[in-house]
Amino acid sequence: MPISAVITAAAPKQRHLLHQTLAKADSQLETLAQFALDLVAPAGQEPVVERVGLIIPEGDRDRYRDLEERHGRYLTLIEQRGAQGYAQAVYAAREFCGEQAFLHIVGDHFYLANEGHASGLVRTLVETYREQSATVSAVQPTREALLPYFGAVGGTPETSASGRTVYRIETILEKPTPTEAEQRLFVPGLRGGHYLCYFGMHVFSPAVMPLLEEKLKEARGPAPLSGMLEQLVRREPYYAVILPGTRFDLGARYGILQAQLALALRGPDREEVLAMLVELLGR
Amino acid sequence: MKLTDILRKPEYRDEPFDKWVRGKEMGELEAEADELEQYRKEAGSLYDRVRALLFLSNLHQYHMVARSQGKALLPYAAVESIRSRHFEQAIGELLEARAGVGSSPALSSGLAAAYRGLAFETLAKQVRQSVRSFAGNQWMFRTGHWLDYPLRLRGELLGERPYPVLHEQTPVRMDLTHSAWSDIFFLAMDYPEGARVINISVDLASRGAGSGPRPPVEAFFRVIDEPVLRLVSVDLEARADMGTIEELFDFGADYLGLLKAAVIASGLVPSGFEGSRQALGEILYRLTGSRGLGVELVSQVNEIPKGSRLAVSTNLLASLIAVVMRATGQIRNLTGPLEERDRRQVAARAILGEGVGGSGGGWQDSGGVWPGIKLIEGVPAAPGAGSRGELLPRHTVLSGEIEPGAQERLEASLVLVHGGMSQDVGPILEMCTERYLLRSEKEWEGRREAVELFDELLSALRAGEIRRLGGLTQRNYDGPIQTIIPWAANAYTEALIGACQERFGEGFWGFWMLGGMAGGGMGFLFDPAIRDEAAGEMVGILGRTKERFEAAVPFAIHPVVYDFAINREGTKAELKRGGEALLSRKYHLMTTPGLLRVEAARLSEERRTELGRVAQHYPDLTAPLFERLFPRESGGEEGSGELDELLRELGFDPQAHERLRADYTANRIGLAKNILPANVTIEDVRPGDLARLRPEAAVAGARALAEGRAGVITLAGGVGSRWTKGAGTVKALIPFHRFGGRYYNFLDVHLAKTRAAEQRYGARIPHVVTTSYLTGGPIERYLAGSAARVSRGRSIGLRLIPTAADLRYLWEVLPQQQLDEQKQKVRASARQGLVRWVEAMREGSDYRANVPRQCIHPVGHWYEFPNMLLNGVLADLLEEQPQLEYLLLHNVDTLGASLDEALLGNHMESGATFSVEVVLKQFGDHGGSLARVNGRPRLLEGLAMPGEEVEFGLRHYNSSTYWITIDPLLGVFGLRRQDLRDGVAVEEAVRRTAQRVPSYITIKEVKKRWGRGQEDIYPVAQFERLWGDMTALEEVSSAWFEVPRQRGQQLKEVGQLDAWLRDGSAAAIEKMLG
Repeated sequence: MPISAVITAAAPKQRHLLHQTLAKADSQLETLAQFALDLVAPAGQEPVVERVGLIIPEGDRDRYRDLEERHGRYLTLIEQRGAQGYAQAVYAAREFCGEQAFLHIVGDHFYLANEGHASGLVRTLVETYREQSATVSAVQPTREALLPYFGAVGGTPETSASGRTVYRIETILEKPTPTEAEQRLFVPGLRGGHYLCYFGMHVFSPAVMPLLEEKLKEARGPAPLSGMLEQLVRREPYYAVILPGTRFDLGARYGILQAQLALALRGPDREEVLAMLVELLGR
Repeated sequence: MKLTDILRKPEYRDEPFDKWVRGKEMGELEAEADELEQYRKEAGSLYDRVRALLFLSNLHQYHMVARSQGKALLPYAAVESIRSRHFEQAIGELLEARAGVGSSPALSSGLAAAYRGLAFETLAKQVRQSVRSFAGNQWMFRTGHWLDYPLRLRGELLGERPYPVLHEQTPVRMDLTHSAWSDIFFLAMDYPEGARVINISVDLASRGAGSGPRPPVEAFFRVIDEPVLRLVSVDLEARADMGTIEELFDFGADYLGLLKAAVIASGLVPSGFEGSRQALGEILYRLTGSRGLGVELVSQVNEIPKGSRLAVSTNLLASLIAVVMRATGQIRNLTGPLEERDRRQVAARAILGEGVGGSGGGWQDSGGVWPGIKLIEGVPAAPGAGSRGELLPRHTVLSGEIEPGAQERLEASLVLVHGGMSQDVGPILEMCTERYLLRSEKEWEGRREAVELFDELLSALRAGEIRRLGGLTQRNYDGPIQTIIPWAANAYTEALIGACQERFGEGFWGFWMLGGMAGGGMGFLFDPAIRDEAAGEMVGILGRTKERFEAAVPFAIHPVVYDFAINREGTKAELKRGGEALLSRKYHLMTTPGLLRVEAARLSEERRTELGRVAQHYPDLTAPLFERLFPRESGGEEGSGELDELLRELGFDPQAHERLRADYTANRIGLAKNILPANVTIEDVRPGDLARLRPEAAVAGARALAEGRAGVITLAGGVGSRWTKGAGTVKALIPFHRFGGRYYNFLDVHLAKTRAAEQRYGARIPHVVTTSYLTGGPIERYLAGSAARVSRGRSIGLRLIPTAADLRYLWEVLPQQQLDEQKQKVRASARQGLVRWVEAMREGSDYRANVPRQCIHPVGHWYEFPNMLLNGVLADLLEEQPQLEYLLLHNVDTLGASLDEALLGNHMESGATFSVEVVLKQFGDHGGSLARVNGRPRLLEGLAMPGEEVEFGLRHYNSSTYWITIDPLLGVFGLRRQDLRDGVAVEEAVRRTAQRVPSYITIKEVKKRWGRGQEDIYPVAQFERLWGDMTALEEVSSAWFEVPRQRGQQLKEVGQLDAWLRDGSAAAIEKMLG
């Protein structure tokens, strides 16, 4: 069953974000857009998905020419009309996805896997979807202090056919307070004060696009995605899986700096970067 | 069956403890105590542990103390451990002592106190633990650094100028029946099936105030353009900007404790931050997203005085918590009423807040958060939860279930009042908990009756049968409530009920106890046809009855009659925006003068525009603002002229006062100087020092009584400082207990005993009641027409502001009872405030900042006998009854003191001037003791004791009851009977003798009342001379009688009443009354 990927990068705040660069291990600079595409089509490896749709702001197509040339038909640029919000941005890929399930990655996150290339995380997510035959969102246990930044889910752990722990989602709250989280997002087996927060990657079942359509019509304006996913929970099974990696919110204050440091400290320049930090601290 | 079976086997769970104990021998009791001790350490269930501890405490206090024969003293280390709340350690020390020397009354009394302390501490910990682990509260104990701070203000509060004001309005709650305090946490969590209340949310207004009833509690929240956390209490007129975490967790420093508790319990600054020494600025930055912004939280209570029994403080706390939780998104609805889940969260946080602020409330108290009439019931907990019931009860709003029109009919019948009394219900609640856990037979039966009555009440309410409801609430009050706790009722309330019955007859449907103790908030149900008339007349009835009891009962305020309405929405909020973004009129009246005094250029934009809005919105504020800006000339300190007049009238000696003040400020006298010098040897008395009491002496004693040779002096100059915590009532006149259906005050008891003795011996027995300026008038009025004679006090002193050194000595050097952790923190911070207060008021200066009666003080009971010389009472007595030779002099609170013929006979045989009654010391006996001082037995006052360790080495405690032979005592003063009419000689004799006894400096607590029933307690210094020091005079010969505890025990505090009733003392007194 072929799967497409939809990467959203159309929010006004993100307009310039994907054009920023990070230094890779080989000292080459790479745009964040390329990093995002590497997640699904890593160089020298089998692509994880059949093709990618990148949702960009209306009128920004020219800024992505290089990327388009590099990836050819594998990449489709989709312009979102007007700033209609996150759910609408995903919905903009409706024709691109057809009636198939699709992988969705948020464009303003940067990922590192605990081991190997970050595309391994995406591969695991897609495998989990195939195993469960239901929508799967990647999540990460996150301490409660970070709840103001993420959507979070509550549910019950189950074991998949391959022995992987998945969570059957029962509740979804967007940026909850710890008070609500404690009351409604309890997950057995998780450390106290930690909640399963969205990781920014999902594989959505074919039911999601029609649901978005329905809800966007009702909302008549910008709408968050998590509210709609709450509906999904009531309609069909919905799972979460913890992926062995780290996400960095590039839109947060010092988000890019943090991502760059994390990337550099994973590579051969680790010593050099550490020395640089020590020197800064010593000033 | 064993006591441990009650704990181990469910079928015995409700067996009464007392039934088991009845008829048991000391050996059996000891064996059972050992088994319980083992059990309580191993018991898995917390409540079983607590019950075992209370069983142990009761075994020791009421059974083993009386049956132990040993003489072992209380080890001082154990006393210290109890005082520091190291109860386990104390138990270990006492059991070790008992293993060594065997049981003794003193050891058992210590064990009783330690077990009891541990039981209540364990219960309190359990509630704290349950509150902390309540889902939604836990994170607040994990968050301890601003980097982890997870709350953000809602955008609606930040996005526009002026910053919008979030305004919460909350009703208070009335309690239709608490099923005999079934809403105490401990009880509800152990006996959820019996924990049921009917709780009604109400709006109020003082009758005749003009405005209709409205929610009495309000809270406001808004963003301000200063990076501070501003807390304002409008009704207490207090305001402070918090800059640091430390200031926020300092609860006793100002009147903002409740607001601080709300800030913490709402999660705005979670508990985890306590002690972290961080600046609040970083938290405010995370909260508001900007470095220049802060928040303001304001509380306001409209027209309800303290002690209303309407749970005002808990509902205010809940209101504040709700407004903050809305503002920080912890509650989804920014405005309007709350959803059920959020109400429960707010209630749980209010319980948390009460724990944080060191106060305590019931399980139904935040009822105002819910709408209308609701049934609140205990909920059985899941197995293995640690308690049988859950922390939070279930609330079922009944409004939809009850007969249409029933609420209106209730409103049309009820007259709600505040009787004016404000009392600490803490001891009552402890008694209630204890009796429940012991399943005391009568009380357990009462509880069952209350549970049955509850169903009837509920059915009457559902059917809207208000007349039946009135009958039932009255039955509840007359029956189970008073069966369980006799002191929940009082003479004042009974008089009010009696007056209503007399005046309104059939039209008065019943009394409704609003919870806690009677005398504060109360309900009276009337036929709707006369309800309005009755409400009007109640004002007069309350006023007249209060006047009758004024001297005897602590009133905090003048009684109030309310207009009220059932609140059908519960707590709700609105967002005030734009031109409406203002707080209450009272708030702006309080804060605007401060803003007007600042130069306009220095005010922020936000404040300047606010002034404009205030002017526009509250045009009637101008006149009162002028009043505040330019207050009228006031006549200096409160009632200063009146005080001087009173001092003149009472014969105050300004020269002597001046000398005393100079000595005090120069530190020549003071608390630390009270003690005997270090070179004095103090030892316990030897066996031969105590008189061997001969029963045969009773014959001579009886003869003397029959011949009219003995009389009684009751010392009644005191105002029961410990009984009412400084409220200034006349101790002798406090109607403290009902014997045979009638309330008796302390004086009634003593006079009844004298009357009984007169009948028994067929002779006239003179009875003198000595009084002070504080008690003289009321006692004279009370005794008008009685055979008893009043001796008017002639000596007063003017209180002084204590020195900071004395306060520190009192609090840091002298032993102090530790409180539980949170209360201890509150007390420590309040004490720091008091030290600042004495420094600001000038140490050692006259205390004048109170009503005149609270500024002066009686000068110790030494003067009470000399006053009888000075005012001619003794001379009169001796003229009327020349054969009078002996006097029994005792304190008004030593209820067991009586004209015992054997003791009188022994006194006569001893030939001593004084025979002093002493009792074997037990835990809690603190003060004057019998000691050998430099080899001579005498009474040593507590104030003169060089250390507590010395005090606990002395076996006998002074009961303050003296048998006196008149002529030798007159001799000590250098007088003879025939000199008593020579005023000059008497005055000289008294002055000379006074100089021979030491005068002590003491620190007393005095209440200052303000606002609507608010009370502050201040320490004041005063001096006193004590009668016991007469035994130190060389020429005074004394004999020492060891008497039973029931005879020598003094009732100083309300908390002693329960033990007094249960150890048989009350029954013994009742027998004496004849």
